[in-house]
Amino acid sequence: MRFLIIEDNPKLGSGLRRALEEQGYVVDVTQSGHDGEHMAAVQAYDGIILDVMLPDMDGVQVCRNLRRRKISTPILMLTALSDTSEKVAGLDAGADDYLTKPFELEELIARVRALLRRAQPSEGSVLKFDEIEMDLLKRSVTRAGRPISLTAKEFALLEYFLRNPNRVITRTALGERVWDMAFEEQSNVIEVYVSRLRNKIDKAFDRPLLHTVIGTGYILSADGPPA
Amino acid sequence: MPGGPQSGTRALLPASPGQPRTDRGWGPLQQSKTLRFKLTAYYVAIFGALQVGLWVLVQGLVASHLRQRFDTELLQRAQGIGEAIELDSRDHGSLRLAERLKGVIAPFESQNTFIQIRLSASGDSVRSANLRGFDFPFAVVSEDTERAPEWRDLRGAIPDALSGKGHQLRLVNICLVEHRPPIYLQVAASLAPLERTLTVMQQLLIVFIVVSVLTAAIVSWLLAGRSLAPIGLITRHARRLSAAQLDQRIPAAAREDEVAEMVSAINDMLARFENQFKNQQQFISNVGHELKTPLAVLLVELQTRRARAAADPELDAFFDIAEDEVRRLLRTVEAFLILARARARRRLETTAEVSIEDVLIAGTQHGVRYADARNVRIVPKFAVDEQLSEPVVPGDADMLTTLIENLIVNAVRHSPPDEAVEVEAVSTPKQVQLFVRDRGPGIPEEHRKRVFELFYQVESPAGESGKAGIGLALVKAIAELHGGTVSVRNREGGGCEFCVTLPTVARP
Repeated sequence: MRFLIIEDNPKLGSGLRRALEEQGYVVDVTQSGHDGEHMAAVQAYDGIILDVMLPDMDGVQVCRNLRRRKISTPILMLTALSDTSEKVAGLDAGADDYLTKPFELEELIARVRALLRRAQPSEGSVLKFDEIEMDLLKRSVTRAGRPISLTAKEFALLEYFLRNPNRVITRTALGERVWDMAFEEQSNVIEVYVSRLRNKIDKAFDRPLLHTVIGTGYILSADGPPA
Repeated sequence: MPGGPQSGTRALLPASPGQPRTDRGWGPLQQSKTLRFKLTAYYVAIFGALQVGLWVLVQGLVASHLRQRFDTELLQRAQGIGEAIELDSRDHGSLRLAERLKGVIAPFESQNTFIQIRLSASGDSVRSANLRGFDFPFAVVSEDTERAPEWRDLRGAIPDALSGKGHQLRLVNICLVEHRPPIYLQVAASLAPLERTLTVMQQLLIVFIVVSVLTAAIVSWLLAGRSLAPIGLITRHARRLSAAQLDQRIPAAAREDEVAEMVSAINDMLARFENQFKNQQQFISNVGHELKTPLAVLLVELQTRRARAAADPELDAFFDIAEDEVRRLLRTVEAFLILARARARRRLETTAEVSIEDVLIAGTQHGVRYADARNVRIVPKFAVDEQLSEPVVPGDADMLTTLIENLIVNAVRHSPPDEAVEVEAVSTPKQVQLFVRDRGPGIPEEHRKRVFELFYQVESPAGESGKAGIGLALVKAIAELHGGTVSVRNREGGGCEFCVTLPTVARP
């Protein structure tokens, strides 16, 4: 896995390089937007970390140029201020994700992993169950050929169900796997998200696929909940 | 660095508590209305006074002219009578006179003329029939009266039948025979026709004045309105201008007058403000970058190195402290930047659609570590409608996460151990309410209004120090940047409930 870091602050750049190298990535660092653009064009990277504020060139512009040159390497933007306009501009220019400086190293690494996972789904890019099809690359879902629009969280939730079909999934498992968090018993967060997802994938169809297992959790099954 | 250090220092200063708002109930719009009224009133008053003055003058001139003509006519009539009766001193006392007079006087009676011939020696008089026996008052004031006609206005004691009700008689005395004893001719006519003419004229003038003053009032009201209209326009535009849209200008009028000049002056001023504001924003942005980058570097360095130093407990403790302090410093810098921006403008300029529920969970995730250390549970909840619609707020996800996190951290700090902090999102069609509830000691009434002030602090339990009272001020600033509000109340059964209300966007 080869990574490019375009960051004008040499200390931050080398810190990030060390952190990523410890994760087993090969890392190149440059401080200039022009150089970065050139490097990304001539060498195939698996991911780019791009600072928005560069001395010679706007990071958003670098991102836009790369996308215009049909280079689809995943880009994680670093914004200096939590300024929404920068984030929106970055995402509009074709960045895949952004992180506001300062960030926790753990979070950066988690985002980098997510970025890579999204770009290269390990076990095929399409998940299927019964009539449901999920395209992980296009981030699209259909049931019986009809497109269904899901939010990011609903998508993640359905992905987890599709990866574990016909198995009772507890609320605890869902919380840990989808939100990376242990929800308290009194919390209805998971119920709300699941009912919203069910609303979208089951409501308009005569055969429900996502069932509640009372007192335990949920199951994605064509045959209804286990007795 | 643009803006200069001084303006930057000012920008970073906290808002003074209880700063009075400059908005007041009545503004320039009402003032311009009053101005319009005043202008009209002044104009009408001056115009009216002139009209009345003119009226008095005209009325006086006409009245005196008419009177003169009346007198001349009356005198001519009297002289005509005098000539017609051709008296001489021999006629005194003779019956012949009376007989002759009747013939002479009769034609005049029909002309509303009253005639009396007074023979001063005997006191006898001969009068026209229409006098019906009324005796004209008579006094020879001086010797001159014998030669010059003497004029008198008769009012009061005259029978109404003679003059017409309430009117006057005009009486002229002339001396017919100057030799002693003289004979006087007294001729009177009612002033009623003259007074009627004057009354009609007066009424016409009053109508004219009323109409012209009314016209003047309407015209001046419209004119004043027209010339003040640009001021109303300027006011409305100026009201709409806020820090978030400083690029707006007041549209200049097509004409070239004082108002246009004022508009151009105001626009110049706005341009200067905009420039300064941009410099300041740039400055805040630069300061943010300058302050945060070294800290970000430090944080990355600390985190990459601690993995290797994990074996040494002393070093580990050092890393713990260093990381925590760097994080705190970063949070403080970030908080001040948000506060500085919140003071400078009312709403965020650019927004993205943010799922409040995702933000709520992210804030909970950030707060969990802090809560676990105190054995406090955080319970996130969603109150959704039948459509299960997801509340979406136009805003900044990071800021909103900070808002929730700060509320949670605040709640956890005041919560007793083993209690739950409830975090709930309640969505209605146009807004979403975020509740954060704890079971702490609650906030006494006198503190409740001030907890959102910067650096204001209610004593926290266990004498915890190191919290500068920024968190809730930041919550308020972020809520306001999103067009929302914050409030706090005490719960039944102890503890308090913070509520943030944010406007949502409709999602299909």
